[in-house]
Amino acid sequence: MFQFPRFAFDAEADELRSQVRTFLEAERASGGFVPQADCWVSAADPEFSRKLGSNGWLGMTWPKEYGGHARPMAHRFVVTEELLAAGAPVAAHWIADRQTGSHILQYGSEEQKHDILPRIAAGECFTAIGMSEPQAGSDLAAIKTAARRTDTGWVLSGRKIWSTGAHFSHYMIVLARTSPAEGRNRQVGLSQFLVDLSLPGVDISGIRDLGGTPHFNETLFEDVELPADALLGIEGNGWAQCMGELALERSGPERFLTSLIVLETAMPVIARHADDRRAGEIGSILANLRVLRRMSLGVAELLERGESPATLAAVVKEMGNRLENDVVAKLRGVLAGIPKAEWPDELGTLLRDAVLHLPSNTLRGGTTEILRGIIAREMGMR
Amino acid sequence: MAGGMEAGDLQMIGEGLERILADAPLEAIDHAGGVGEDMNALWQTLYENGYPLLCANEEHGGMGGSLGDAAFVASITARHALAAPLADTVLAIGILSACGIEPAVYRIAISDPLNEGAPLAHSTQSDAVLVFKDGRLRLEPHSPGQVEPLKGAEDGAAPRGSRIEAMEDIAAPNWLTAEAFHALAALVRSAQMAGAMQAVLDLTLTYTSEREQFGRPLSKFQAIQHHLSDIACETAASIAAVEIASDALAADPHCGARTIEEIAIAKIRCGQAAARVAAGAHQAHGAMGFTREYKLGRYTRRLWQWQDEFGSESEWAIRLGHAVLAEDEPALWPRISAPL
Ligand SMILES: Cc1cc2nc3c(=O)[nH]c(=O)nc-3n(C[C@H](O)[C@H](O)[C@H](O)COP(=O)(O)OP(=O)(O)OC[C@H]3O[C@@H](n4cnc5c(N)ncnc54)[C@H](O)[C@@H]3O)c2cc1C
Repeated sequence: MFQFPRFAFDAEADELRSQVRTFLEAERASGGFVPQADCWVSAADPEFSRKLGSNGWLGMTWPKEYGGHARPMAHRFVVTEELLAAGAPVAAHWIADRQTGSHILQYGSEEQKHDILPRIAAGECFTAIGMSEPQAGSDLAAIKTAARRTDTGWVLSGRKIWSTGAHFSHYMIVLARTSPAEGRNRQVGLSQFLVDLSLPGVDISGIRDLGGTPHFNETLFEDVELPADALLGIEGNGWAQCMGELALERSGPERFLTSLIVLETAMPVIARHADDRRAGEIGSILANLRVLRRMSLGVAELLERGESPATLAAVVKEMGNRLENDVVAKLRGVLAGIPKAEWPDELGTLLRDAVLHLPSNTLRGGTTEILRGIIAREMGMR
Repeated sequence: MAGGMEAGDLQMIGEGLERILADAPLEAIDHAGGVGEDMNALWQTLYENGYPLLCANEEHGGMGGSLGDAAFVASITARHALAAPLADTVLAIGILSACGIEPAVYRIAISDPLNEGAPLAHSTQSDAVLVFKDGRLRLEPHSPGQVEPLKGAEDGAAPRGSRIEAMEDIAAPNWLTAEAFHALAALVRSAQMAGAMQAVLDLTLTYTSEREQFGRPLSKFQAIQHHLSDIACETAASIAAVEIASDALAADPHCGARTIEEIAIAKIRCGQAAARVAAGAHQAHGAMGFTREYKLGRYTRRLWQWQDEFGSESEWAIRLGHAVLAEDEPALWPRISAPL
C-alpha cells in the first residue's frame, strides 16, 4: 500500500558528508558546541547557524537568485542528518530552513523572496510556526485567530500558542480565518499570513517546557496591521498550504534521530560491557533506524520530484516517534548493570534530557493519534 | 541496480507469476508440490514457465536473475500463500548455478548450516535438500513421502537427519561461507514475510469494512483504524527493509560481510513487524481469524514460522549488535548512514 521510492546519493553528496563531518568534529573539539539531545528544538545558537549559513548549508535547495544554492534535496538531507546525529545546536534556523523558506519560495511575493530568503540562507533570519491555538490543537480548523481586510492590507487579531522559538524569531507564518466556515466545512475560509514579529501589537511570552527550558511561546496579536502582501499564497487556500507545509515538517530525519546522540555517547561503555542482551538491543535499534532512514529518503525523493507526499510523511513521523521513545527506553535497559562511575561524564545529563523530551515527540507536528487517522483515511477507512 | 536482469523483465516475470497464482484453485495453492512423485498441475505450470530457474545462469538454461531476485519471487509466492517450495527452489538453484552446477530441476528444500537441529521447511514437499557443510555444497536426495510433518508447523516442516549420499557434492567457492548461505536464505524468508504482511493488510482492510457491529462497519471504529495504520506502517517498513538488502545483494552477488549486515537488518525488521502485524490483524478479526478455515491463518501461521527460520530477529540482532560493539570505535551512525 505505502511504497517508498528508491533513492541514491551522488558522489557530490558523499563529498559533502565528509565536509560536514570534518566541520562538526572541529567545532566540537574547539568547544563550538556541546552535543544535545533533541537539538533541533532545544539547542538554539544563532552564531552556529551563521557558520552553517556561511558554509552554504542553509537554503540549500533554493535558487541562487534568492541566496540559495540550487542543490538537490539529497544534499540538504545529508547536511541535516549529520547535524542531528552530532546533536549540534541547530534550533535557531531549523524551522526557517526546513519549511518557512520553502513556503515563501512557493507562495511569497518576489519582494519577500529577495528580502527574506537570502537572510535565512545566511543563518540570520529565524521563523516560527503559528498554527496551534489554546482551543485548537489537533482540531486545527477550530482556530479563532482572524484577519480582516482593510484599505491598506489586513488587520490580524487572535492568539497562537506552542510556537517553538518564536521568542528569537523574526517572522511567523500564521494560519488565520479570513471568511466564515461553510456549514460543517471549516477548512474553507482559512489563509496564511507572513507576519513580521516586530510589528506593533505583537506580544510574545515564553512558556517553559517540561525540562524547564524556555522553548515555546504564546503570541498575542492585538489588531496587528499587516501590509497587503502579508497574505501568503491564495486567500482561502490556507488549509491546503498548511498541509503542504506539514509534509515538509513530518518526514525529515529529525523524526527519528533526536536521541541518537545519547546512544552514540553510550556506545563505548556499552562495548566494554558487551553481552548478548546488550548486543541484541543495539542490533535491533540499528535495524530500525536504518530502515526508517531509507523511508525518509524515499519521501525526500518524492519532494524532489515536486510531489507532496503527505501520507508517507505521516508514516515516517508515526514510526519515527515511536522508535525514538523505544530507543530511550531500551538504552536505559542496556545501561542497567553498568556502574555509573564508568559512564562518560555527559551521558547522565543527555539521558535525563532525552527522557524529559520524550512526551513531545508524539505530540508536536501532529499527534500519533492524528497521524494514524491520516493513514487510515488514505486506506479508505474514513 | 547492478547485476541480475533488467527491472522491466523482472516486472513482467512477476506479473506472469501473479497471474498463474491468482488463477490457481485454492486446493492447488495449499498443496502444490505436495507428497509424492506426481507433481500436481500447478507445480507443472510453474516449472514449464521456467520459474524455478529464475536465478540460474543463462548457460544453465536459466533466466539469469541475481540471487536478490529470489527475494522478489519469494514475496509474490508468500502474498499468494503458495505452499510449494518455489522460493527455496529458486534460491537453491541460483546458488548451485552460481557455483557452476547445471541444475536439474527438483523441488529443493534448504537446510540451515548455522542451526543444524532446526526443522527442515518443505520437508514433505521436496525431493532434494541443499546442504552446506564443512565448506562443501551438497544436493542430497530426499523422500518427502516418508516424512512425518511436525505438529503445528507449516509447509511440511519436519526434523531431518543427515545423509551420506548426494546428487551433487562440491567444494564451495570461497565467497560461499556458512554465514553467507544462511543469510541468503534469511533474505528469502524476509521477503516472504513482507509479502505475507501485504496480504494480511488487504485481508484485514476488507474484513473490517464488511463486518458490522453496533450498526456500523468495524473499520469506522478508531481503535480498529489504528490497528490498520500499524499494520500498514510495519508492512511498508518491511518492504523497504527487503529492498535495502536485495539491492545490496544485487550490487554484491557474493554476499560479503556488508551485504550480510543488510540482510540481518531485513530479517530483524521483518521479524519484528511480523509479530506486530499478526497480532493487530488477529485482534481486528475477532474469533473468525482464530479458525482454521478462515484465510488469515494461512498467512499468520507462516509469519510466525518464518520469523524463526534461518535466524530469528533476536538471533540476528545479537549478532549484528556484537559486530558493532566489537569495532575499535563502536558507533551506530556510520552504519545507519552507510550508502544504500
Ligand atoms: C514541543 C512542542 C512544540 C510545538 N511547536 C509548535 C509550533 O511551533 N507551532 C504550532 O503551531 N504548534 C506547535 N505545537 C503544538 C502541537 O502541534 C500540538 O500540541 C498538537 O497539534 C496537539 O494539540 P494539543 O496539544 O492541543 O492536544 P489535543 O489536540 O488537545 O490532544 C490531546 C490528546 O487527545 C488526542 N486527540 C485529539 N483529537 C483526537 C481525535 N480526533 N481522535 C483521537 N485522539 C485525539 C491527541 O492525540 C492527544 O493525545 C508544539 C507542541 C509541542 C509539544
